[in-house]
Amino acid sequence: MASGETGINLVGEVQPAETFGDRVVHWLDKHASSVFVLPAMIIVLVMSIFPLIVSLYLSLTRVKIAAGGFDITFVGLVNFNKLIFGREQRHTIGKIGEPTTFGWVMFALVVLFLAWGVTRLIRKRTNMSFGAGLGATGLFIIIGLGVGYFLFNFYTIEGEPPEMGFLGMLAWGSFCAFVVMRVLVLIFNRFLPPTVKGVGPILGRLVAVTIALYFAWITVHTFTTLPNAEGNPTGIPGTIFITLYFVIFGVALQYLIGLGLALLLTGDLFGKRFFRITFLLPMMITPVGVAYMFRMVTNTSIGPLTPIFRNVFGVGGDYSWAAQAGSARVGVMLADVWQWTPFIFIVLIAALEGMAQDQREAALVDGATSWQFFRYITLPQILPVSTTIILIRLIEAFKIIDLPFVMTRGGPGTATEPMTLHAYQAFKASDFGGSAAVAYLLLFLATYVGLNFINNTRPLAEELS
Amino acid sequence: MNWLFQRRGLYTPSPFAQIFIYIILIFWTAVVLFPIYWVFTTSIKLPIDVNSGPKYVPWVDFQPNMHAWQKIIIDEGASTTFAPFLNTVIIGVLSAVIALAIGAAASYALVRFNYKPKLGLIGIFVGLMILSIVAVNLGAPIGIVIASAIVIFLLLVQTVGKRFKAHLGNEDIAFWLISQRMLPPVAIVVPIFIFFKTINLDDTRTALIITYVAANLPIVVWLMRDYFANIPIVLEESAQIDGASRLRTFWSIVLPIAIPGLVATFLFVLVFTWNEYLLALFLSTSRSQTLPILVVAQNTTRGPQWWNMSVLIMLMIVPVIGMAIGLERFISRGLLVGAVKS
Repeated sequence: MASGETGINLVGEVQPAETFGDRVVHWLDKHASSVFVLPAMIIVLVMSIFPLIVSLYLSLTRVKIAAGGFDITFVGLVNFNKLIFGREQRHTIGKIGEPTTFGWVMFALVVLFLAWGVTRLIRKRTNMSFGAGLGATGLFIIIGLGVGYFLFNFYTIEGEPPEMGFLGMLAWGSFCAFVVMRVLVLIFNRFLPPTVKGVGPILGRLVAVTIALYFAWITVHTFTTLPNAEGNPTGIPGTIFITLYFVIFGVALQYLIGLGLALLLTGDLFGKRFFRITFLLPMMITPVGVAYMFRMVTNTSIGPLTPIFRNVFGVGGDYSWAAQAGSARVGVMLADVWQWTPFIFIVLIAALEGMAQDQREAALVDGATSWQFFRYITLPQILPVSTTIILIRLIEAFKIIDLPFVMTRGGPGTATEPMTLHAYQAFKASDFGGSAAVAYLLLFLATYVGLNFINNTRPLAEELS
Repeated sequence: MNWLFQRRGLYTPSPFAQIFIYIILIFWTAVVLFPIYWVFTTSIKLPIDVNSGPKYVPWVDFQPNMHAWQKIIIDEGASTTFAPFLNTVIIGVLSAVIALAIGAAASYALVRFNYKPKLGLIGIFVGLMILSIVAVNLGAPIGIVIASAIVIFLLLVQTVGKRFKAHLGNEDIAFWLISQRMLPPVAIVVPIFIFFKTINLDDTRTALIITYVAANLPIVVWLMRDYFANIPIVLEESAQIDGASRLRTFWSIVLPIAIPGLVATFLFVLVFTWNEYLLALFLSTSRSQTLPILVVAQNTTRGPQWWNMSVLIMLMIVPVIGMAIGLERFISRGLLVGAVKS
């Protein structure tokens, strides 16, 4: 480094040799661009990326605590097999029961919705001929069923074929086939004829639709099931579906309430700032505190709502909402809604205040009704922010652990146990490999749902605005 | 009667609508504030007042009593309460300061410098990382593996590194840093736990501080990047023309301007650490216990002692509520900027 030498400046005076501190500063300055950004990158590499890779490796191993360290053996996909098809299947995916009429109606609605989505998609991709679309669909079903059939018949876990049913075969098979095809397309992209290139996105959507169907099928067979002779429901949802329950219903409610409050607070109102700060508070309170708060407030014998529980719902004394699967889930979800509505509220209110004023004024002068005003002026302007904020909330909601952990300990049974808690319990049982496998399933699920949400709502948002 | 339903102005709804709006707003205010009020009153109730059914108003329904506060702060303060409290404060402040220092520098650099990390080198780096993990598992000594990996990496950078053309840009680096926030912590906490256990740092404040720095870095980069982007570049240019170095410019021109943003981000990160539960649950057992862990531990075998729990919850939320009042403006701006731009 030149900075270390005794320098001669332009006028010719001899400068004193630099001290060590000066040299360091000089050196840092010369490499300023790296000095600024490297610490952050190193920390993220060491504390996020490296553990992420190790975690993937751990999920493929069995870890035993040995004297003075850990004994790690590579076991392949055993941990994932156990969770999805094997011994832990009831924990992760659930116990299949006989659905109620309500369940079948919900399933029919989901099928109709998905069919509408697929038709729309195929009609919009006009560059693709009808024959090519049909061919792609047929190919997809054949390959998916083929791989699924293979999984079902030739692939055994602990000597037994995996239990998955027709839809499961199609979903898992097409998913595996899709991953393989996607990799092949990435590698051989430049050699493909242009007509085939358009098939990729369609195939992707078809896989998403199949997986959604499969998930809906499992959901109605685990959440809404007929009771058995003792009056207990025959189906029990697994942690994947409990997580999805919290994520989907929780975020939907948060968005609706947050949007409603934000819309009400945009006008000129007395005490606006007071309401804004108050509505913000739940977000800042520790989730553990929120959980205990909810347990206190919703206690049916000593809580403040006891009169309501007793007179309106006719329950009290020994009754506890936390002892019933359905009400326990609703309770945890409501606590989550209470805590995270502010996040959506505060972003939406800032977006509403930043809206272009001229359009609003023109619409009001022209005498637009409140609904027209909302549909054609407000909604288009807040839709882009909304998709982003919902995505952020979706991803955060997948991490839920504190509330169910404190409110119900994941119970009764596993009725309120999300995947993070599942991973923690595996960790507590010193099953580090299993814990990492659950965590990776969660990572896949969150990424997959997030990507699908963005892919499907961005075009919709653009269309509406 | 028509005036009741007539809009009063462009931004003023009709009186009828106003009444309706206020009813809903006051209802939600009650939904938000009542649980906090209930926790507060529970903390000043005697056990018998808690257990004998709902008592709502102090002095009317029950006589306030400070026994729980006395127990938590004075009787058990030195033995159980203060250590977790101190842990939380130290861990929170230190990790927030470190994350802010590192994150602010990185986000400033991402706004002002141009980076072109080469894809090939990143691939080599990740490949070497995977190889070394495999090698360590096959029984190679960890020191030698790391040293040789670094040597191989430097060699490859000097030789084949120049040949790679494809590269990433600033946006990619920023996205990569911010996207770490999206990662479920449970996916990385087991290796972190094993890592700290191997180097005998498990259940220490240091371990938690390092982990929280990593967890908070993405938020700092996310919030500060937009803040720096809005500072006019003219000031820095004139400082550089006057002969100030890059570090000097950053230290004496940019940072003073950015103080409001830095303070807001600091408080924001502090609140996140203050409330964090999952990482603390995995990484601390007794010595480095934080407040959320202590609160959960109150669920004793004799059933939850609501009065003691309420005191602890009040201790946890009072500082945070204070911050919320101060932070309100910053939060909406900070969150929105990130949301709109991404």
